[in-house]
Amino acid sequence: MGQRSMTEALQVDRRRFLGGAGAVVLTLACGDRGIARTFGVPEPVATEQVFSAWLSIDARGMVTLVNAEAEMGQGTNTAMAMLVAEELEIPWGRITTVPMTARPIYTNPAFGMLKTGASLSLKGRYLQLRQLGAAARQMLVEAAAQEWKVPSQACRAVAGEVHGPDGRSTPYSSLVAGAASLPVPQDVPLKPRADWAILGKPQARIDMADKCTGKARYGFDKTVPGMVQAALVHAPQFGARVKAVDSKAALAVAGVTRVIALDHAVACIASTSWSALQGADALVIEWENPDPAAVIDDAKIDAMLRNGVAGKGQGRNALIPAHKVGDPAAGFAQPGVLAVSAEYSTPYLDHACMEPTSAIAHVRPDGIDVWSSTQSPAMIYHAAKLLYGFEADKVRVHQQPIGSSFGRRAQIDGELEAMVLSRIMGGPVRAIRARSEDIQHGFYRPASRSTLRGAVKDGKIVAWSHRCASQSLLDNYARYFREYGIDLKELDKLTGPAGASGFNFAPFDLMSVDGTPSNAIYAIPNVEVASAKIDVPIPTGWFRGVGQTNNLFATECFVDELAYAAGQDTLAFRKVLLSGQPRFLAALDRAAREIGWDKKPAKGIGRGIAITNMSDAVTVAIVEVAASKSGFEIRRAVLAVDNGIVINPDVVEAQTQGGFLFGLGAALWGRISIAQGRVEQTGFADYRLLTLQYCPALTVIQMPSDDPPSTISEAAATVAAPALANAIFAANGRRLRDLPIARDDFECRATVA
Amino acid sequence: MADIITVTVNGEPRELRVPPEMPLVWALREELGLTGTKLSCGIGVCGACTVHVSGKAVRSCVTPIGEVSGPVTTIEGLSSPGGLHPVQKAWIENAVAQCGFCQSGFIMAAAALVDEAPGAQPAELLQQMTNICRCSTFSRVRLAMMVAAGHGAKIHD
Repeated sequence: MGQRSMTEALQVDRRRFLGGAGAVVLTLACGDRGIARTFGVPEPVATEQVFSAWLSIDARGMVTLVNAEAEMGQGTNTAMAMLVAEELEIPWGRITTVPMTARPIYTNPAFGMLKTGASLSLKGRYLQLRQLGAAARQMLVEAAAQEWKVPSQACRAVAGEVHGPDGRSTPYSSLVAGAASLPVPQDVPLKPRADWAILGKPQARIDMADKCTGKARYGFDKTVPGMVQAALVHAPQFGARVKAVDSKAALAVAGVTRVIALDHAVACIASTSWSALQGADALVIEWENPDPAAVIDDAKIDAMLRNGVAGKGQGRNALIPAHKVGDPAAGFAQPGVLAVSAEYSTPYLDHACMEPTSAIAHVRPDGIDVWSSTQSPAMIYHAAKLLYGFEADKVRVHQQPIGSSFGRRAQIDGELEAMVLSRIMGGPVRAIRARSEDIQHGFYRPASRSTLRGAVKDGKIVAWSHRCASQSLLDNYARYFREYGIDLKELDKLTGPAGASGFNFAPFDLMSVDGTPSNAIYAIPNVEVASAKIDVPIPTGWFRGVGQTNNLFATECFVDELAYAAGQDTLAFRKVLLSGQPRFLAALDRAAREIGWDKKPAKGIGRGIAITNMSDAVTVAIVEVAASKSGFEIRRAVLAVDNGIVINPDVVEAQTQGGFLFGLGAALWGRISIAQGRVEQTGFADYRLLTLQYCPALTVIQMPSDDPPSTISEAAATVAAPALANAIFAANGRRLRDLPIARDDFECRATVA
Repeated sequence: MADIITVTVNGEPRELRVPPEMPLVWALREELGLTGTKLSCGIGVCGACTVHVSGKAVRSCVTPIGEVSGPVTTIEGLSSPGGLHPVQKAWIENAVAQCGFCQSGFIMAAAALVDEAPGAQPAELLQQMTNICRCSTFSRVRLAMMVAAGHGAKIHD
């Protein structure tokens, strides 16, 4: 591919890359041309399925909606129910949701496949589920009109009933049978936003009480009759293979019945989880490790990343131009410019989900059932077809509520293991693993290195260069499919529109430059972005905030560096860069006012700004820290967000708080280290995670607009690290360019003391 | 052969035929079907498995069933016939939970803190809440703890 077409190809964001053709998801996300847009009009819902596949109404008038999005804390149970309830004309409180058994008809139109992620739940369902609710309401009205032998125009839906002439009325529950046999209206007008009674207002999560009383059930809690437990032990070194297993001690554990060696792991089968885990612990496994020369560690990875940004990589590791605006060389060569350069780095991160990875599979001669906390049900039934030849309708994937995921459960490694083990065992198998296995066999946010150069003249940035290097997010994603002999191109074809699977057949991973100025909002006349990938055998994958978690840290800190180099206030400097971006300017001004930017803070107190346009949202963070030479504490943070049309303000606030703090914890301590070809961390004791004592007072200011609903928590997760690093510099003059921020000689102190 | 272990759970005496070294969390979840108590880190760090033993918060993933010396209360038994525990009420009113997986543990830990030390100052309570939540619901955890402890919604001086 020539350089010109490559640059054009890269002027789309990851949503297009992930999205499907049917979704009309189109984005131009380039330089100073405006805010990235990713939104399409979904195909009309397959409305003939309104009552058979999506909705049911019981005798008491309670409506049950099948939730085709995974619920993993982001609030889809509530949001999806709100969308339907508004158009269906039922009072809030009269609708609940159930998780789906996956079927292709539930495909998210914005994704092009049945998958939850990439902040696409609301984008894909926003019109679809309102259309569904409106069609159902119309059918109920029509059913009443036919029964009463009156024109349907003389009837209307009110709070779960149809009202007709002469004051007569009947509840929906008595009309369902008639309604379900009617033709489905396709173009029912949706309620104008001004008439919304449920949407746009804070609604209590419909699953909140269950989650506070222990009633909520997750994939990890699922049991099926006759199932056995299988605890997996994976090869510690990436790429190692099982050579020999001594299972004597494991089989001596009460309850352990069998030990099964796979290629890449060994499973200990038992009647209870505890026995299986104990047995797994007692296994003595000899591994066939990779060639010692190929065994990686942090130093080797760092050298490869440095090589990458230096442009010394060859072939598929070469530095590839990704984005260009104006004439960067000429921009840097202008007389009188002040040139600044800096290098940034980020480490590998694990999702560290609260819910341990688990999946249940039952492979029978006539079909398969899978129960799991998955973000990727379609990937499971397509993989099952390639493994065992079953068509999608013979593979029933029973969606379970997820106990946090952040992209981890978009991977189906656990489900594949459960299927293979079930086939061997001839019955249902629950595949589990100890936390140490989970953290050492994740799909990590890749480490990265960025080299930035900038030129400032007359208080403005006149040229910008960003070279970044990391593993591809996607190249290694497919590694485990190969373990099972699954042909990736075949799997990609099954999953829908080209690229929807997320497999990367292109030479370049678009996500690796997300968060560089290739999709920034700043007015910079001359920009160049180049990216190099490194090849190491570490599984990588989507992580809340994705590419921006790496590149936005470098970008937003370097904007700060240039402001100081230009001798300017960092707020004023950014406002010049944001001229022509009214939504961003408004949010920045609002956040600055909230934190009291005009009042100069006391000595030792500093404030840092970070901004992102991730996934069409406007997200501004300002963090305030107190910092000395030896440590710091995070006192306050203000987030101003414009998420477009807001469905549930209460969930927007919660997700913004949670996303930001998730990013903050990662910025403070998050680091997966690699030594001798394996992950060093073993669990939550040596992979430090955020606790309450370190959280700042957090203010979320919502500034909704008329744009379609956009991302919430992913954007909030990406601004935390740069805002924190910028605040520390403002407080004590120490510029921290390598994550994580906290270190032995510079500790984060608790705010609750 | 495992001995019979008798333990009172949520007010009912239960007999379990399990090895005494089995962690309480597995006995609750797989022997008694009380899946409201979650397992996450497995080493007593995150607190997702918190239950009460004799009214005190313990991390059941590192508590062998054989060493349980008092009555056990799990999230399923926290509320009384009269209604929800004040911590549960505060949690629901302040919409704390996101994915919810860690929240049983948070609620059990918070309930023990609030019940054990009525009138404790906010900082004393907050210092002792060391549970981990990856959805990072901490802003609302603080709020709900303060409400449940009768400090209103004021968190910071």
